[in-house]
Amino acid sequence: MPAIPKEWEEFRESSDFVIFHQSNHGEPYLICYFKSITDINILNEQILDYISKNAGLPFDELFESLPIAEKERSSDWNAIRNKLLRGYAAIGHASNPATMLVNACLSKGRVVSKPEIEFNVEGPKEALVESLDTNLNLIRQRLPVASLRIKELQVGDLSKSRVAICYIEGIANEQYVQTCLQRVGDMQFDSVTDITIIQQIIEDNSNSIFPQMLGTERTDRITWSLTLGQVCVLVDGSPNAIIGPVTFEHFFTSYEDYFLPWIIGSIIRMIRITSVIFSILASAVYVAVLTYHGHGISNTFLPTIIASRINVPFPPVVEVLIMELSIELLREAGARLPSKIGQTIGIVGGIVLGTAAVQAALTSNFLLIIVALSAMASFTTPVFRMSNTIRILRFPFILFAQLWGLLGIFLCTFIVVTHLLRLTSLGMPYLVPFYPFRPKSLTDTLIRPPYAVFHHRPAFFRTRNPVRYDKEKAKLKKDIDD
Amino acid sequence: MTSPIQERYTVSPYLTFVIVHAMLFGIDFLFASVKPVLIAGQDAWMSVLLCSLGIHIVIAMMYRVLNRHRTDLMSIHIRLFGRWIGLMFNLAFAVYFLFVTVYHVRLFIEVIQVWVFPDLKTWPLAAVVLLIAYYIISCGFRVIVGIGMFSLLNTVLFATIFSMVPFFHFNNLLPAMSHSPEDILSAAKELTISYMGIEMLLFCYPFIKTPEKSQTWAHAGTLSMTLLYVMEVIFGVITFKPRQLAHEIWPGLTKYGFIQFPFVERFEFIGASATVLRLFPVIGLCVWVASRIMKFTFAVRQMTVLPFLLGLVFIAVCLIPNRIGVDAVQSWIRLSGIGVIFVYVPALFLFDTLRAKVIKTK
Repeated sequence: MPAIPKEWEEFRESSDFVIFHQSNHGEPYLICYFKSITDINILNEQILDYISKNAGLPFDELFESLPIAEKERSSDWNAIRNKLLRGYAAIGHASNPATMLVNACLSKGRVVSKPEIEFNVEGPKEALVESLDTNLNLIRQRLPVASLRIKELQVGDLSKSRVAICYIEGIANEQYVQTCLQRVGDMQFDSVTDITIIQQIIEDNSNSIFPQMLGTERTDRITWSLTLGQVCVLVDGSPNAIIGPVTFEHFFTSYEDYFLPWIIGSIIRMIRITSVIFSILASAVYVAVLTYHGHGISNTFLPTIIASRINVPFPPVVEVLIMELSIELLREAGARLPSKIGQTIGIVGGIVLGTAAVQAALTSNFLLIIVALSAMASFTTPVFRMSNTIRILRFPFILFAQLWGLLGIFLCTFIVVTHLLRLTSLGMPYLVPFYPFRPKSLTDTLIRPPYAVFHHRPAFFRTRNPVRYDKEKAKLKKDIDD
Repeated sequence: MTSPIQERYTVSPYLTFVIVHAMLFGIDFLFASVKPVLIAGQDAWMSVLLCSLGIHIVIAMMYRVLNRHRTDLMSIHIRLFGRWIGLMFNLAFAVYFLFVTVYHVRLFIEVIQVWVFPDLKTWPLAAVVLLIAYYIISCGFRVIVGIGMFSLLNTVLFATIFSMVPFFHFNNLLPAMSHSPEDILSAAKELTISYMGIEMLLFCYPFIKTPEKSQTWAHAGTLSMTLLYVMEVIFGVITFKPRQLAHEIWPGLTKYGFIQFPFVERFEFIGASATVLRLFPVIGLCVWVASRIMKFTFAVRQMTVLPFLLGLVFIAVCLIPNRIGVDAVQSWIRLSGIGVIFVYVPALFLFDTLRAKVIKTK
């Protein structure tokens, strides 16, 4: 292959494509690569150096003896092109129709750092990064077993993103794995820049505001889910993974619960669930009570509320909508700005505007407290996508409360419950183990069980092997004075 | 005629308990104890037990017929009575269930109009309720039963009955056994309305995984409802004097007036709004059955026929103007309910048993 093939002309349009002839002791080689994604050091010191030293060897023998693990020979144009675009260097020789492809890939990226979104005090502080190989390395290190399977697919016509689907053979149900593989394989999109794009495409119901797969950046959480029989999907270029199938309840468990003593972990988990309910209902109940059921409040409590909003000119619903929207605005402004300016926004928006709004009688103190509390409560949700859902969910409740008071809130609850009942995650009901009711799997829901009773995996994952450890082998409890 | 139901649309046998419980714990529960207590006084609890016994027998009969044919009532009708008469029976049931729906929706709106919003018009609430019902039913049987499960929360509200303990007069229960058997029987007859809805099992049967096992759960559901009714009746006796009770339309809601929390003055707003928990499982199941019968009879898609049925219900609900209209529908429903449970099902059972015997001898 001495002359430059016609097909390669396409590459020469790009300035980072390098192609040159090299002659070693009269042996003409053609070498080409993309310098933007190729490690020049590897190329110079290991590949070119070796070739020039062993120039006398025939091409095939040279290929066999080249001291690099990832190499191949091919004469298929498509294969060569794909490899070149992945950072391989192609080496051809006049005497041979095949081209030698050697991996000299240069990957630049972040180093592994602390989790920023799912922050924790106790436990490992290691989060995924953008490079898929690094991420798989982190997972494999935590699960050094042969049964950890990693299936790799390619999606996206332009981005050619590598997607890895991990599960543990012998634990995960094949049906979930197959569903996942098939949906990722069938998905059509040109550029997959993040896992959330895959998530939105492969979810059971793409029109739902509830996430049906759990996004996480924590390697320990991924490992935990894999051992329970869930499937994990990663994509190159995304510092997040998605886990499925999941239940509604999983979105309210923080992984830190598992590091705390079980009583404390359970109490914190229950506080979190209460705060979510509070966050959804608080401002709606305020609207309902002050619009329709004012005489439902007891006489000891009523003067406080009346006194606080005696000068407010708006009806409760307008007041609530103004406050809720300003909180959302504050949050959005804080999220879009660099963190240092973000703090200023917090101070200006939260303190100055809040105080001024009350003094200007645009809102009542009482409502300010409710709205601030429910905003705070919504941030306790450990999974970011779910906390977004919780924030949005407030508005229909407020509107229904304005329509028919408490009755409206009940009606809206029915709509939400129906929606949750119909949702599935990779085919598994979303509300399991509450509906369908699975009493034996209730252990890890509202309370975080002690590990002594966590000897079985939750039944709703339909795992191949439901036993986590043999509880007979575990140490027997001592009797009194024994 | 009906193709077997795919497994992923079926529910576990224990959910029969939920179906029975949700159907029997409807809005009627709030006032069902008034008339029996007025007739049988402190002995009304015996009427409850008597009535419950009858229901258990009817359930046993239903399961004998269903287990023999291993399909739902629609196909059994065709099999027993031939195509045309069978279809007539099916349509009669569809009309019956639609009437039950109309009755429940109107009753619910009445509760809201009496207890929460006196000025509320009928049609806007009916429209919203039926739209939500459409959403629930269009999600299928599993979701409807799930809504029934969610409605079990109502039993928690029932526990508020104990907040009235200081007002109880246990002396009212004495002297026991002072009413004639005629009184107790006629009180039992009044109570049958509260057990209406059990006929739903005739249509849910093929949607239950291993339906033979569900009979125990159906009995358990009836048993738990019997317990609740006994409590409700005794509560009616020991809280109200008979002449007070005669003026009560909703004793089940009046009791909320006695509940006090530090910051909630009038709990009945919550209690009356929570009536919606009783409403949705009943209308969900009823309209679902009606639409299924339509699908079976006219070979249309359930999704197509559902808006029409709900539209009919909407028009009917809006046409019932006031309490008098509700009472008229109620007496009609009561008559047909008793007819279905205590006349039709035993007759069907006898006919089917005889038919099976005849076929066997041949």
